[in-house]
Amino acid sequence: MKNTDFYNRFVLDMGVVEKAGHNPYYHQVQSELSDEIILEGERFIDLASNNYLGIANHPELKRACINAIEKYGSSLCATPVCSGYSELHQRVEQKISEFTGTERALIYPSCYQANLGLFTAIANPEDIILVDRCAHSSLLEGIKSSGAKISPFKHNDMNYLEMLLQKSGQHRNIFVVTESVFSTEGTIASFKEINELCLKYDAIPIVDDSHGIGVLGNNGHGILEHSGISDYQGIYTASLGKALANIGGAIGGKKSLIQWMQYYSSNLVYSTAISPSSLAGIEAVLDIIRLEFPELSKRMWSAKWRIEKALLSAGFDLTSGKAPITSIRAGNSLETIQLSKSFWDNRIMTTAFVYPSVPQNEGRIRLIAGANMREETLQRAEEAIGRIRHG
Amino acid sequence: MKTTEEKVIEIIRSVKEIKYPITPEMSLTDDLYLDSLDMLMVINTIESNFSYKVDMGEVERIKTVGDIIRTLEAEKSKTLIHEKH
Repeated sequence: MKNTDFYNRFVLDMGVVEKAGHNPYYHQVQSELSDEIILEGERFIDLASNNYLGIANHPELKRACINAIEKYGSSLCATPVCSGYSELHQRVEQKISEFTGTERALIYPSCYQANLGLFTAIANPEDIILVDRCAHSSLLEGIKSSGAKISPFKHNDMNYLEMLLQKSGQHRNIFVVTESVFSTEGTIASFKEINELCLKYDAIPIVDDSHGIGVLGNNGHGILEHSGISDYQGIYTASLGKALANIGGAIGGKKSLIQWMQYYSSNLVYSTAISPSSLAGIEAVLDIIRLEFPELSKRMWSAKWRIEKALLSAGFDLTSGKAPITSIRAGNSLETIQLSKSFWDNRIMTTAFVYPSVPQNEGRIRLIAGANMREETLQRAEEAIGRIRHG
Repeated sequence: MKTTEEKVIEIIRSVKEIKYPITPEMSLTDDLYLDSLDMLMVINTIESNFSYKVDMGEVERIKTVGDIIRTLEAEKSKTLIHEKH
């Protein structure tokens, strides 16, 4: 009886999906990521993935992954602290720290794990963590699990943040947490100002650059380059599975912290190390960015602006983000899923965000146009957007 | 001079974009869709604007806009009594 009760708790409410006649989640992909993808036997324009630079199927990247498998096999079947740490792992960590502008870096199997592991390792109830209201779930979950006092600040509101900093002095440490690019809104954090406020109030900044690495800055090095920050005294995290087109998450920071985390971050110490093929892929992507970023960046921004313009011309209500993410304010969960269905019916794959991923009634349809969008595909997307709004 | 009710509604609006009228009987979660992070921001803003430290035990009992107004009014009258003596 008790067991029956237990499993009865897990009945999924699919009411909204049934009402909309469409489930926007867990569609099965049957191809590599080009500007189109094959989903369940049909060809779709890909405006859903985070393949900002459009290089997930780059020949050099594929070759590097295959070569790593030839050398190391599929996995080292161990945690990094034991026998799962290859010379390749060490080299890629070194390259990531140089690329992002941090003293040293660690690579976790995912950025979600990196963010969870970070806060539990560095903060406790004696500390206070000031976090942007719109920060990613992995940051909020990590903060909650640390037991530190949490105090959210209004999205990108520096006056509000300063007000909180002024009254946080009694805590052992103050951390200020933000994303660089907010993944549902496409807004870019005022990180230069956040960093300056942290210096003024002796707080430690923590930035999650998952949607900024490979995207922001003159060379694609991310938020620190974008903000003109050198000699960064804070902590940096980033996903390696978005513009960097692989998998894994990085934490960068001062050498002493990173050395300590190598032994005391349980999310790292007790997780099987990221696979060698992914590490080789990350290394290859860093080379691709070094050689091709100006051209890739130009194409990525051009595609973003084309899609944004088409949506505005069609009368969609967009968020005001300046990053290469375009988000439509779509209303409640039902309205959001219905709009995602309209895109789906026009063979455009988008990402639908509904409660609890976003606040109630603040659903979003997110579109990301990568640097790999061909002219013909962009034109088809523009035409379809006009039809969706007016059809 | 603004009333406590006007000030509280203004604070809620500063934390969350709400396009419809806010009234005292409205539930913070069911009508205004404030989540735990929004509530922390409301409390921080109240503390800053009213120079009053909110007891987190009280927060558990706050369910409506009116609950916030009544809590602040009660605190205000305590302060006045205190000042009188």
